[in-house]
Amino acid sequence: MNQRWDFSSLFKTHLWIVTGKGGTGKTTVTAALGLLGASHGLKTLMVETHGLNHLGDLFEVGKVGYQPKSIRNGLSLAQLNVEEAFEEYVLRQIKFKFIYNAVFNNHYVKNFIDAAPGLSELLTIGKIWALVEDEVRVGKKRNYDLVIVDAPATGHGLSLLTVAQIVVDAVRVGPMKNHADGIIKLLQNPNETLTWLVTLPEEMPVNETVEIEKKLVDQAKVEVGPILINSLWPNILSDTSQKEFRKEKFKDELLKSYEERREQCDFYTTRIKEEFSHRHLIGLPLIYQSSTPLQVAQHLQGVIHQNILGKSL
Amino acid sequence: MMAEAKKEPLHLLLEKKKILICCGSGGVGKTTTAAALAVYASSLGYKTIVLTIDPAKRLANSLGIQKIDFQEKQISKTVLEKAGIKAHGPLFAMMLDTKRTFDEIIKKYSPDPERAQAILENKLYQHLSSLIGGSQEYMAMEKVYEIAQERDYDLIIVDTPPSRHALDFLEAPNKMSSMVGDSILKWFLKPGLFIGRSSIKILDKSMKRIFKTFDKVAGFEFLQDLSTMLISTSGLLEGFQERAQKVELLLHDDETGFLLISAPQPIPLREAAYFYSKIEEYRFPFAGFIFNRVQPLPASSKLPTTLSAAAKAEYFEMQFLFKSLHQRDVGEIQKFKKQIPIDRQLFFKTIPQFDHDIHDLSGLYQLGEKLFLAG
Repeated sequence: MNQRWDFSSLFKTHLWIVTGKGGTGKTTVTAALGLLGASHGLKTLMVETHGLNHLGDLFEVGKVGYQPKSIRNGLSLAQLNVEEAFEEYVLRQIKFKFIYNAVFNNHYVKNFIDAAPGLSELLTIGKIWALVEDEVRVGKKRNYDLVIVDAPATGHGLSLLTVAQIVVDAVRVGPMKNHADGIIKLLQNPNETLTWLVTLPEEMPVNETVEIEKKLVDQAKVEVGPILINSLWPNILSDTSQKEFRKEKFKDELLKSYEERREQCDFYTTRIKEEFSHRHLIGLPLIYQSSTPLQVAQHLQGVIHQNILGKSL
Repeated sequence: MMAEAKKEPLHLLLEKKKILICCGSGGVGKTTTAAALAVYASSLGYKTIVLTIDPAKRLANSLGIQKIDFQEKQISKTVLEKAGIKAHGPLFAMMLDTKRTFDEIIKKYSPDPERAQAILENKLYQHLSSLIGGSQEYMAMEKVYEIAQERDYDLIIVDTPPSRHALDFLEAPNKMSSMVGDSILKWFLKPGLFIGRSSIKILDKSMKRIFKTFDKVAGFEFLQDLSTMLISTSGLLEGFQERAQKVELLLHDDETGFLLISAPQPIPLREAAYFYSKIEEYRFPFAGFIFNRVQPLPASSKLPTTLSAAAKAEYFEMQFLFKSLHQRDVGEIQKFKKQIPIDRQLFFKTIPQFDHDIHDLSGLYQLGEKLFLAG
């Protein structure tokens, strides 16, 4: 039951969440997926959370801010932060800015958000929900066909996907419950939302991917899409050459280093294949030729594209 | 006075510091570095403990610790000697339980078990406690405080929870005490506030407006639940706040040092720079940078002349691969150094990427040797 994704099944969804252990390359993958969506003619929006500005730097456009901004043809970027999401959410309920200003001065807002359990996650996922569905709910045309979130690393990324369920369990009635219901409906609908997991062929990233995949299915109840194995060590040394080196009894530090890294990469790639025999796996090469982060993302976009067309790995 | 032998920065650091906190973004090798520091420090004669968060299974095994119990474990002399390490000071390891959350705070600071039970059984409390920002990070730091107070280690090395923003645990003690101290939530603590809707009448005008607004945003029922929960927790908050302030003081102590660990890639380095600026802003005692997993340039030998052209070409491509990765890493670190003013005598170290995972004691010892090496 190996599940394969093609472009039609991928592009029927409207929200992609990119997550994985820290240091696996989530941001670069988010950029590659953004480019992929835009190159297919989808109006695509990439989202960064917690006021980060990694994608702005990668695309060499600097800080973009809270409001979505077009950064290339068909591709936009928004950089969410909790304070602005809070203000926007409250203003939606009470409509009057002067009341907001009277009630929530900045010092209290910051303390309140810090102190209120889960509020930061709830506001972030709430804003993402609004970016995906606001227009659809009132029968208008979507602003964006595809919203791609560069989500926090696994643990915090999972809270983002489960916080709405906690609210629904804890709050019986009121506007917050209705909104949380809407968020859950979006996240748990496999026709709407898809998660992409990014990992590396190393021990800890593989372990964490195994754990998070289970939690995505059991706790967050979201659809798990392709799993990307990033930074695969290149296959430079052919079998015939390897035999030649052996025959010559040639082995220097360089060759030894290469073979050990290659072996480690193969070992963990095999483990990933065993653990996720039912998933669609996409291998991404380690890019070692001199290139800018944007060029790396563009290269990976091509690799992902070819893979989904069924042309490699 | 006798002339002192010239000492390397990390040796000097060990003489001055009792607690070393290893921080940095996820996936940069914090856990391994913390363990290597501990193994090597104990070989120098320090009674050392490493407090670790989520080590790889084999690393945990070689330290003799498991996820299921969170106890201090001594690594026996025989095990150390078998790994080729002549131990001079005892070496301990302990897993920090980051799943320990607010429950512990409630139990610890409740005036009596019945009160604790009432809070723990509160429905809203159950749903929300696991999400309280920074509570896991806070509990990890409180454990460090406890060990520093109650045990007699020469050196405590702390691995910190991975977090994209890595700041959570720095801010945690402060956040925790301000949450119960001067935050907006204090208003909810007034007894009887939400017993019935009519009680809003007793509030002054501006308070009334504030609660009306909250009602509209969050729903009245939710506020009522929140109020009940907070009223039942109010009694125990003072003791907790006092403790949180002590933890905060410990983090600022001269005998504490923060080591910032990063991998030589743009995003971790950018986060390290941000983290460094925060350490300075909060005036935590900064100890130095460790750049981990920097690709070394493996030595090449002269190729046999009899090799085929194809084999030679492949060899040169491998050479190009290592050279590119090496240059990229070194270049990133140079860029980083330029943007950070490292004027004082900071500990600053580059550690090579190993060809394989480090998960046994002798591997940790070798890594430790590299950390303590001159230059």
